[in-house]
Amino acid sequence: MGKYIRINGWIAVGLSCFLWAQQAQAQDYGVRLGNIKRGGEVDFSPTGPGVLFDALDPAVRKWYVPQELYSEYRWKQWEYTNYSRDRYQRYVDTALQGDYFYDLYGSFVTRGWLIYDWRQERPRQFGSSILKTRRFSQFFSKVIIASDAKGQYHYTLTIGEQIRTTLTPMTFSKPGFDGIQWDFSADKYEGTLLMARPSRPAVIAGIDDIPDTRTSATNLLGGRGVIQVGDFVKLGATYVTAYQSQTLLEDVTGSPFSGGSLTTDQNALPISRIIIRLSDDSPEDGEGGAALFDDEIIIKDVDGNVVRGSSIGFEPIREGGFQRVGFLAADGDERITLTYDFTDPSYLGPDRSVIKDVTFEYVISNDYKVEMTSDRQTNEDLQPVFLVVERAEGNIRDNSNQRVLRFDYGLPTSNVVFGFTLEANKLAGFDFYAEFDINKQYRKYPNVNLIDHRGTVDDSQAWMLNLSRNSYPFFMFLEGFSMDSDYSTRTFLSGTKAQAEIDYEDELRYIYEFVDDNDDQDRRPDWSRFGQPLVDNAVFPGYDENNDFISDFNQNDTDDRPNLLPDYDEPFLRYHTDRPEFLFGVDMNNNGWIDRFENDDQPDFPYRRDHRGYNLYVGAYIVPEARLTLGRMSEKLIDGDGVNRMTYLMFTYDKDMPGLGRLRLFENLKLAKDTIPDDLIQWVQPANTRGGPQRVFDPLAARDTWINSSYVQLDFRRIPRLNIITKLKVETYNQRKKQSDLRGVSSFVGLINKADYTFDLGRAQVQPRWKSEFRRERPTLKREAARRELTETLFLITRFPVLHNTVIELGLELSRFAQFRDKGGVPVDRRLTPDSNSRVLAIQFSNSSDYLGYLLHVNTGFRWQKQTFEFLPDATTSTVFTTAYAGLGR
Amino acid sequence: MADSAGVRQRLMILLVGIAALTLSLPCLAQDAETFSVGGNGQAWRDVGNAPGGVIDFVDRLTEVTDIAGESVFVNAPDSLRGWISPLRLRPDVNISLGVLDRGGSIDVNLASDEVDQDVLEGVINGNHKVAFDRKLIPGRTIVNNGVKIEIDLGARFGVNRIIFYPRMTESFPFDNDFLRGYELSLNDGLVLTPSGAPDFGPPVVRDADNRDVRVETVIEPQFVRFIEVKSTTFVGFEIDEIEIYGTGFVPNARYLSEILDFDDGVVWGAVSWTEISTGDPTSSSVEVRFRSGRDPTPDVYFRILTVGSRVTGRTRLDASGDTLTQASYEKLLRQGQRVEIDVDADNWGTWQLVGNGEDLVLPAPRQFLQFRIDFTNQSLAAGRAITDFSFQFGRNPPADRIVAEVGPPLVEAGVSTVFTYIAQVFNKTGRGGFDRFEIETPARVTAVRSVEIQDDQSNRLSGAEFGDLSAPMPLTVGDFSVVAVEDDHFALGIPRIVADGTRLKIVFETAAFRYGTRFRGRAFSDPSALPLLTEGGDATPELVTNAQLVRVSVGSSVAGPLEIEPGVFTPNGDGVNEEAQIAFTVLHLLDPSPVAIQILDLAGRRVRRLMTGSVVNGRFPLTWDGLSDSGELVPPGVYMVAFEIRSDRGTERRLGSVAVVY
Repeated sequence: MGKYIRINGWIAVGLSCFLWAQQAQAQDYGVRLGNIKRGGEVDFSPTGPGVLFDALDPAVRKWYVPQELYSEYRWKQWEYTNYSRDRYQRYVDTALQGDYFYDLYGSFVTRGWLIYDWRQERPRQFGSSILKTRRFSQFFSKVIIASDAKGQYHYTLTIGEQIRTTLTPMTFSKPGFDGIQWDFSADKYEGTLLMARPSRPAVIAGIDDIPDTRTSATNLLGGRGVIQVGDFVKLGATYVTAYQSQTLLEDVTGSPFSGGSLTTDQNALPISRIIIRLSDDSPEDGEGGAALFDDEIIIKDVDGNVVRGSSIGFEPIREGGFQRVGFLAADGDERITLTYDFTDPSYLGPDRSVIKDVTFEYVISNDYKVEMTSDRQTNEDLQPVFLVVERAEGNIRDNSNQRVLRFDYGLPTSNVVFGFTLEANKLAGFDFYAEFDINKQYRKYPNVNLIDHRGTVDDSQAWMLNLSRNSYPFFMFLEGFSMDSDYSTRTFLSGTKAQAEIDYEDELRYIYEFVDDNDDQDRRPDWSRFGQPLVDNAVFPGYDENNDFISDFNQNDTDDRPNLLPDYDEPFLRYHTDRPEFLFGVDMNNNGWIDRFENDDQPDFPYRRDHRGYNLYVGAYIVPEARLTLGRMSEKLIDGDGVNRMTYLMFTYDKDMPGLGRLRLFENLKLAKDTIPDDLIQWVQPANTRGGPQRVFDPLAARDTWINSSYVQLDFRRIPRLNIITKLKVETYNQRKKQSDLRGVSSFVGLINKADYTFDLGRAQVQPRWKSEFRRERPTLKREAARRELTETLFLITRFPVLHNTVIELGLELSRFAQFRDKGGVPVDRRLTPDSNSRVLAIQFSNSSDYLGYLLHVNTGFRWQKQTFEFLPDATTSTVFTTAYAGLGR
Repeated sequence: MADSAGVRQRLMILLVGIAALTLSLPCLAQDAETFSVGGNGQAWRDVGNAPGGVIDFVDRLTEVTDIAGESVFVNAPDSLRGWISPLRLRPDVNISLGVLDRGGSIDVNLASDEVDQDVLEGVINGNHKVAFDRKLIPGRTIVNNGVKIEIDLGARFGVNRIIFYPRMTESFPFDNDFLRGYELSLNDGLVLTPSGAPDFGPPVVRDADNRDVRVETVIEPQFVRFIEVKSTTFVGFEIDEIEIYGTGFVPNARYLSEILDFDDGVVWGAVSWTEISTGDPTSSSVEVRFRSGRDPTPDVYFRILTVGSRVTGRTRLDASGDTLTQASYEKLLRQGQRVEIDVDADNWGTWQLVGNGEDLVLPAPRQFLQFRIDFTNQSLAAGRAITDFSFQFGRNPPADRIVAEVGPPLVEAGVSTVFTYIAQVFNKTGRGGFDRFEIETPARVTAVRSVEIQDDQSNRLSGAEFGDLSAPMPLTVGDFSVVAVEDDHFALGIPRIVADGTRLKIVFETAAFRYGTRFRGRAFSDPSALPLLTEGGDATPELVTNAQLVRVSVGSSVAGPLEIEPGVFTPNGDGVNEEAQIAFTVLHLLDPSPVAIQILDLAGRRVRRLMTGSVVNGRFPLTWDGLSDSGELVPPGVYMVAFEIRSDRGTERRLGSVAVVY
């Protein structure tokens, strides 16, 4: 006990000395100037300046209270400065450690740097402000994360410019969301909140760190919550809205839940002309288009007076179409336009400056498409831009869908998508996912004299469900889906430029997508949109299995050294790479392209817009390697004209047999009635190009058709150092009815045989190769040429190792391309490539050595090629090269 | 080869119809005249023109040949001359040479002060002295990467070859200034942006390292309207010509007549023509439309007024204060000014589609008439040609005009309704008047209650009451008679009406089955003359509809009520209550749809198929005599009457019951 008392005594003495020392230090000026408000242990709380009693010195002389110069450098106002011993210290920036920041309640937050600040103040000019200082990108590479956790509860707040964010596949999915994402999770609950200003999200401030301010802007608010019910079921709810916001308005006006507000530009001038356009929703059939029986305009002014056009003799200018008994018709590419001109002298209704809203009532039928525009709904050149109001369901031609179509005019202000999900896993052996979403698109009629504008809303719906069960050896899968043609996850952006104008046609600058098109599932969306850093220039889903952003059909292509020949046509490389025609897989939409390689320009919804249908298949494993599947698929276009009904049988066999090799079999038999066009934008590489996307039209080759697709591949590996690969693909289309543009029977037969054997000859390694490629093709379209051709190629590759890291390689390739001929000796189609021979000789000297931490590869060589053609002059090409590559690994 | 010959062998003559037309018009007007174009009539070129320049005017169809010199219309009758058909491209004809004449254009995405439009148009004029020059020369700073030349062909063509090159003559040896990198994009004229600009997809050809002085791109024949050539290098270049070649028939072609002046108001009769097709007949079509008017200018031309880029209004006057005409409008258009066209709706009616052999249903009498013929081909190999185009007209209408209206304006669909129809005669010029009047009806009228002639103050001058129409025709009361009652009209004999302002009031009973049912009148000065058609308007203060159209309640069902009378019948041969009268009603339909009326027993088995076929709208009576399909009397009991109609929207059913007792 005494020991502890002694220790405590020493502590007390020490503490007293410390406090005395502190007091002595403070006395240096504190005694003279009173209580300290700044300096020393600085308190940055916002308390305001106080009263310094020690400064109550009734003297005429004036000493200022020591502040920055004293606290930083001990310089006193009254002292002579002599730097002979203590040398002068230059001023150091007081902001070196940043500024002082306070929170909403005035509590001091920190001394540091402002990184990100988004605020919206209303009502005021330029009230929407986002500041991303340079440090946001320099310190944090455009991502900052705040998180916390306790027990089962976790949350993270992420602010970033390229956040991979998905709520559900039909509501919000972006590879590069630019905004704020707040995620929460607990054992049974999950939640996400999204906020962004997509119209001006990503501008990093310049040197001055000036915030980006806007009066009109488009904001995004979204969220999703998931709750687990029991052990197997999850219920989810999703809400996403992007809405126009104007900070001149009071807070309660134009909330995201009431359809947003008109921008300053949208509301700047009254509408003078409204144009309604009616056309044929299925123009390709040339008949049964829009039928307009009657039209009426109803105008309501700000005082609540309602005027019908017919009562004041206000008739639109009707143009286009043709008159039939009792109605005006627009078939094929014809269009009926009705122009309502509020500036026309004959117009006797409310002045356009006091019009509150305008409603149209049309008696209409058949396969119509109704669009509308006005002199305030234009593109950059002030040309009116039509937006779709309504499309008829199906392709009605007999007037059986006659209705009164009632719609309001307005400028788009908001797009809302909300819905629910239900997910069950292993519930009675079944996996289940269902999603139902509603899309609401708001429009408001502009009137500069009004603060709160009347809105109208268009509804559309989408749903999907997937049900599956695997109970070996049986399995089943059911999917149902429907998505209205006007279901939309895009919204217009306001304020991307200095003014709040919107070019309703410019997708690159004025459209924001909740669900991006990203068919290759990389970090860049496939389309170009505002605020998106880069456009994806290489979209070839499925063709890049090694994820190097280079098509696997042209693997040796780089930006530094472009390669203009696909590998299957390039000497030596053609041994390993086969043509895309030899790929096989499932083509559920019967457009001739395997589904997993398809690229389009649509949002990545799991199912396409305007489609409704189901797909059911059941199957069994006959043996573990063999699977038999029987299915039925039926879908139709909701507003368009087309169906796809298909019954299919599929058999797959995949067995790796030790001592023999791997055998793969695929058989797919379909009876299809498909009249739905599924056009694509596919990556193709014509000769002498690096390849690029090309629009590909669906030939509708399966309108009523038996389709058989068979594939066999055997990789023979029984004999060491000998590889033999055989691929056979047979695909046939048998038309059940005569089609004017299609062949009755079209087919593709492709056979590839290739073999290589490696043996040593002294120190040299020799590898002879042989590849044979046979193609017989009768395309489905009559206008495309049939072909039947054979390519035989022999290779001889010899490698001579020299010293430690040097190899000399000699290569010889002999190739013969021949078209099969008819009985008269004439090629099947003279438009195709003529018969040819090719001889390629190459020699390469390779060195691989370490240099400055890199592994240096230097190749020197020569390649010579001579081609002889049946009808064309011979062509001889040669290449001499010395190339060095620096790599980081072997 | 045999296949294509077979296609040509399927060539079909659709109608050679004048004789048939004569038969269908037994009372062809004595004063009716015929206006003929093609064949033995006037020359097509004298009567109209081809906007876009894609109509072929050929004397004999055998002149239209393919590349082998064989006639495309192989079965064309050599006796008929003077044909028009969509232009069929020859492989050696450069389409681009006619771009400007067709109303097409050439443009480049450069500032106007950087481009001489005449030089740019030199790219498509065949002149090898003028070229679009983007060569890099000292003292000239130009950016070539991204320069796009866009050509609007003015119409859609089946294009299969595009060629461009620099000047390569001795005087202009610029072989080395070819385009070193380019993209070639096409648009078919149908895929457009919302404002109507062509929406070019990915390029069809992209060559970043072009080494050909003369770039010749061969593509699958496809319909093209817009072509874009884009430079993808910074290297200087020039383009002397862009040549475009194609094949097959153009997909859309229009023949548009001049405004035909008939000097005085005339009425219109039937139209007919001879038509022939080649290739798949389902891939081509011809549509003929007419419109009539009171003055020679159906279109109103406007000039858009702007301040800066903002539109401030539009005017019908040019800068000199003169009213815009078609010529001055097109001049402004060529000058790049913004212009618009509206239809003169006050003086001209809308275009009306007419079939071969059908009557022209146009506002009349009118002095001016215009027609147009639209050819549509969905395949390059399919096309049509027409000749012997003619229509009847009469120069002596019974009055200047007759305005009519009908009430009530809104009725319940399919329900028998009493209609009041009043027509007022305008005859200030003292034409001969009429004594026969017909009214088109959607169904047979069940009663003509009264016919009355009133003066211009609506005072009754004379009249008659008729009641139901069970008596044999003609049914005469005084000077009035019901001459005929048909399913689609009824005819009245009346004292001749001549005086200006006279009104004819007719009260009758029938049903309307679809929205926009038209009750149009036809006035005949004598039975052999072409009738004067009534037009909708304000004919009387008694009615407020001011239209000949009657609206019905817009409904969602096309299957109307199923009526069965009596509910119990006794087909026992005693002559009393032997049959059940069944009537079904179809509403709203415009085109025939298949219907089936069947008698079913209570187990749902079919006992008798009463009717199968296709009907449009209307009320259709049937009779069931109690017999089954095998001709035997059915056992006594309750039977179901099933009415089923299959419209484009789906199948609808109505069920009723009837009892058979003995």
